Amino acid sequence: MNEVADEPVNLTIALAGNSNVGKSVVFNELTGSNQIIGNWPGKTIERAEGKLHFEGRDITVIDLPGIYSFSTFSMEEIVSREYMANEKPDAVINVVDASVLERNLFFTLQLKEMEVPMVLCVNQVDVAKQKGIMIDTEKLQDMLGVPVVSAVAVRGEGLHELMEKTLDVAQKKPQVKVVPYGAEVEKRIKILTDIVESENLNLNYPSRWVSIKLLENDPEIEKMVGSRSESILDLVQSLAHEIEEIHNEPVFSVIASERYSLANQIVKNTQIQSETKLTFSEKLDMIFTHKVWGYVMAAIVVGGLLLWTFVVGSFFSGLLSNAFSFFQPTDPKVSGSMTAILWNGAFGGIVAGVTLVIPFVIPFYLMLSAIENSGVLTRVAFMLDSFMHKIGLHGKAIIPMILGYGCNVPAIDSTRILETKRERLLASFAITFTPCAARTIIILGLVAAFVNIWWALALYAVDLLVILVAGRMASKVVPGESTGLIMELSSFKVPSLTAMLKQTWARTKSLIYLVFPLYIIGSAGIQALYAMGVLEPVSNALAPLTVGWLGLPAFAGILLIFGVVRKEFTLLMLVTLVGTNFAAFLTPVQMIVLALFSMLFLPCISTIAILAREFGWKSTGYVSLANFAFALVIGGIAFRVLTPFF
Amino acid sequence: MVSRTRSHHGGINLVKSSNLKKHYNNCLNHYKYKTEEIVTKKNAKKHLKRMHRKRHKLSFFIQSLLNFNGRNNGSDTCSADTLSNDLSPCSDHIPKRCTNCALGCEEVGKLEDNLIPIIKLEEHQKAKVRFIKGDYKVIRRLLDMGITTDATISLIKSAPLNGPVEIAVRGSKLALGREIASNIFVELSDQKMKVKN
Repeated sequence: MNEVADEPVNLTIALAGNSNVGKSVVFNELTGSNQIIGNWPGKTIERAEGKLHFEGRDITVIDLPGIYSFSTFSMEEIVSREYMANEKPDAVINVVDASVLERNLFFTLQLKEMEVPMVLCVNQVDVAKQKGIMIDTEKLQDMLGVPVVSAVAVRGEGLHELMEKTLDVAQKKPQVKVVPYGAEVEKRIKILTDIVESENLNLNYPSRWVSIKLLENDPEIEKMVGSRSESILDLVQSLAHEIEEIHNEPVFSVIASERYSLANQIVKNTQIQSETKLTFSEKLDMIFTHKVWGYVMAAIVVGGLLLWTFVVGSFFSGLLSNAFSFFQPTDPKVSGSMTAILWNGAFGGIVAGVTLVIPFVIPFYLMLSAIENSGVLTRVAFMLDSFMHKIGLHGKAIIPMILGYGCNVPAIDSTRILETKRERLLASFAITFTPCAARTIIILGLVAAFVNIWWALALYAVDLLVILVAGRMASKVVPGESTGLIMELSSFKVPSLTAMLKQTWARTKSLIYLVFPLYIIGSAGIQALYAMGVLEPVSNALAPLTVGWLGLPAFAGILLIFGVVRKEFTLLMLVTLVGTNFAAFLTPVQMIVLALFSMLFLPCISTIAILAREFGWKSTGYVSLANFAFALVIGGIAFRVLTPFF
Repeated sequence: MVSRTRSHHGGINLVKSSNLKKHYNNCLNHYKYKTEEIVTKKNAKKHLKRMHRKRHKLSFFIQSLLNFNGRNNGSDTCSADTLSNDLSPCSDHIPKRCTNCALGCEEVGKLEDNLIPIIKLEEHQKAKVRFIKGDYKVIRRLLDMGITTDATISLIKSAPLNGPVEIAVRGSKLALGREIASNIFVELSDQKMKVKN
């Protein structure tokens, strides 16, 4: 603990604060990492770690998930407070949003109670200024008794000063000044603190904090203290009783009110609010939450994302196809030497990946990160709350579902922003029906390119209907009640291009490192198997399903099996088997049915793995079964209904 | 680990009978200070009678923490039928001024005109939070977000189709589901005020 100040040592600093104040932006700026950022609360689920070299020191920076309080109502809160207690960072940077100072200080006051060496980073002062809010950081520093630095993290402003002060605090570890509560509460906290101290309970947490938590009826702390000393709990009861007598309110409510009135007092003394015109964000807000335009905008956001992906994707896909047409194998090679077959297959994998996957995935993720960073998602969640209730969820669940259009795996991960396990399961179930980028590639590459764009969009519409029906059925089956929406609506932001590019890179780089080799090996492998005649028996075994029920050619069975590994394999393997002119081998109806079936039929193995991790194998089995059942019914109907039209 | 802690979020009014005891004790933890002994399901009625004078407080507690009201006195909740019968004069009046509990329930009834749920506010109308009813965890989360009793809030927008409301509180904007918002009772400030221009 007591390092010599002049000696270069390794330090650990943690970033803590409310959701969506820019902790991850500060983190990325400090460490040069590509931690995903987004303008919606709850995006950082697990803590991220990065390194920074500053003034001759190696500093480990920890980005904690955003929380509003140190109670134990969410995993994030428990993770954060246990981190503070057990790992004792050398300093904590409390990032606060300058335009919502009061609410942010509620958390700051709790962080101070944990008695960690801390620095306050008042972030987004530029946005606050637009709203007519000025903050007197010196006065704030005096009142809180901790160093305060104002910053605009997205532009890196103030971060050097922030690090200097943080380093200073980390080395000196100054005593954190106590900000007292109202007299009648403070008196009882003191009594309790003295007792807790004298009992020598050997807790990791500071005594005053433990006392406050005991009064607040914190179950974890109560258990921890209760196992060491029963008598303290009796004292807590009588003290709590006294406070409740005075205030006629439960103690947790009294303490929350008092904390907020402290925060309010600090804000009154340090913040100057001048009258302003409606900001750009507020004007946008009026459109996005308008009773008519709000829905139109929500549709434009989701539909626009898909349309943009198709238009930009097919443009680049065309360019790349032309560039590769010199080398492109005209026909899949099924005879000749094994080396030639393997080479041909591998090369086909590269070409298919470059011309079909890359051009669609990159524009998709670029637009997705723009949407995510702008703050539009929370407005869509607000507008669609009542619809989401129909499938047993609330508005916030729309955020992971939209992320599901990118990739189901991180989308299921982000269902952690929902409150109960039931909601997370229902949302994840809905997400498995959401066509991810890979499935979008199949739909666009098959249907939009060879039938027309309207049939492709119709598939998305059918999919929405499936989500509604399946979700409604699931909400009847999965026990429990849905909770209500409590969500912060933060200001709109103009997404920064560098952030968008970084984020797109973070999300697509694994495609190049990891997935591309898979394409090549898979493609070479399937071609070799095809040449050896191994695929035929497999296709034939699946023929009752593929040929009989869905009206697809027999080789579709192989495509679907590979599609479980990665959805886009369905399309890539099709290229390997028949070349790029699908129209010669598939009728329009077959293309639509194949796209529809592979959109719905089973989650890919990565999705199955994360479902199993989050909900266990039993639930995963049910989810997969439901997927398969819907695909079977809808695919079969589509084949029979569509055939007369073409 | 994650799922275990997260699954503890169910509303108290929908507690399954298997979880009943745990939740029941949890609910009562907050109140047991007042009686110096733990109120159990069996002797709750006796206690309620004895504490006639403090009835208004208990009814606040019951309504806010246990979320008892007329429509959910099913036998599988914390024996709601027994309790609500005992409190019938109070429980008919939904809003209860917890900050002014010295008033008896008959008198509280008179205050109803002033106390309205957030969803009844007009756009840009300001009001003071007086009373929150609902699941314990929801109340705690609302408190954390700044909706404490005495906080000034204003309604910004009410989404169509029985959708959520957008409110401003302590400089931040929050979206609250319809049901949650209809359980937050506010007292109107004197004059109608626009939040911003």
